[in-house]
Amino acid sequence: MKKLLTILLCAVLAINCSALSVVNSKYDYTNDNTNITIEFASDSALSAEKQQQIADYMVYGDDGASTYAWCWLTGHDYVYETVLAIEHKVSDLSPRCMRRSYSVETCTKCDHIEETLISQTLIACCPEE
Amino acid sequence: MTSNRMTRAELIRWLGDTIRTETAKPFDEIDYDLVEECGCLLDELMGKSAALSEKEIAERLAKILPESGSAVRKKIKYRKLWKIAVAAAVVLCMAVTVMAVPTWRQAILTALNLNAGDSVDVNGITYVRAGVEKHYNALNDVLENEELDFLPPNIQTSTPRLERIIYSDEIDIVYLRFDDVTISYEIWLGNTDISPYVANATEYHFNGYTTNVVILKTADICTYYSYTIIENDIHNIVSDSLDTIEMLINSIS
Ligand SMILES: [Zn+2]
Ligand SMILES: [Zn+2]
Repeated sequence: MKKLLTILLCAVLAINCSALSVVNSKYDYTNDNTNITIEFASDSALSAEKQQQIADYMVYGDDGASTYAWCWLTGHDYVYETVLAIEHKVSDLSPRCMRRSYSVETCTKCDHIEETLISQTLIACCPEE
Repeated sequence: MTSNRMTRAELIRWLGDTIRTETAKPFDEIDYDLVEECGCLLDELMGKSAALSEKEIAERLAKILPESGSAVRKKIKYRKLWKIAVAAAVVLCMAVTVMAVPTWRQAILTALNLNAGDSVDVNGITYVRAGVEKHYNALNDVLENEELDFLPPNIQTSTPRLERIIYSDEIDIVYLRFDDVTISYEIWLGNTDISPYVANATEYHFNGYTTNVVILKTADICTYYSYTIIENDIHNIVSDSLDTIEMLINSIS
């Protein structure tokens, strides 16, 4: 599923996409025909910086850089959270938006991120036009 | 290695776990002999000489393990095992040669995928909350011990098999994961507002419940998105097969 998002958004990235708005713990990624929201729980234990990093990772995929640093030797300090990725308006009729739930594993000491898709469904989010 | 014996996959994971635990200690407390011994055995289990006999494995393990096998089993259940194994393998390879790391990681991932089916207790269910895994023998044990209140599907056939229950309390959703990963099953706790889902849905009646089904076509595949109020929750089941959805709802009791 990450691949799908990656493929979808490679184009987006190329067309000059920007993280438009950050409201609470939602991160929106938008271009002409794709709109994805990455949503964290309101009581997320992750810092804003870490959330941004995870959101970027989920939308753009792995940038190849990895700084496992000393975690190689000392082990990661993992934190787990459920993160939602909502792809808006995938269907013309209600319910229109695809919500994928991921279990995201991050390390507090390095930039390790790993996501596992746990479910996907259509939700009522954007109205019909 | 008799009645409580670990499967090969479990053993690989346990070795990884042990290495990781050991190397997480302060440097002067690390038992490098233990790390090396685990690493060597891991090496042989993963490598070209993977065909170690049970006797050989048992002998090697006895060197590492002063305790009994049952203690080992207990210990390994609660870990995010294969990830630890990968981390451990990376640690292990640091000691050997840095250049070998990517190859090793790949080898271990491959091996673990191949063995993914070996290690699971056939009737067991893993319960995950906030990244912490617990292992239960039966679905009812999960519901009782974790104080979860919903009506679950009780599938009597061998497939699909319920493997994991993930509870995300921040968003009040319970995720059921089956061995058939094409099935997506969410329980929206305390939510009975199904009105946004009925407008373009086809109504079915399974097991005395009303199930609203929305079909989404992508390429050649039809996917069925179903929404059913069951007690105080909405059960949201997604599958490429309507029969599967019907079977799951029919099993709810
Ligand atoms: Zn780390
Ligand atoms: Zn939407």
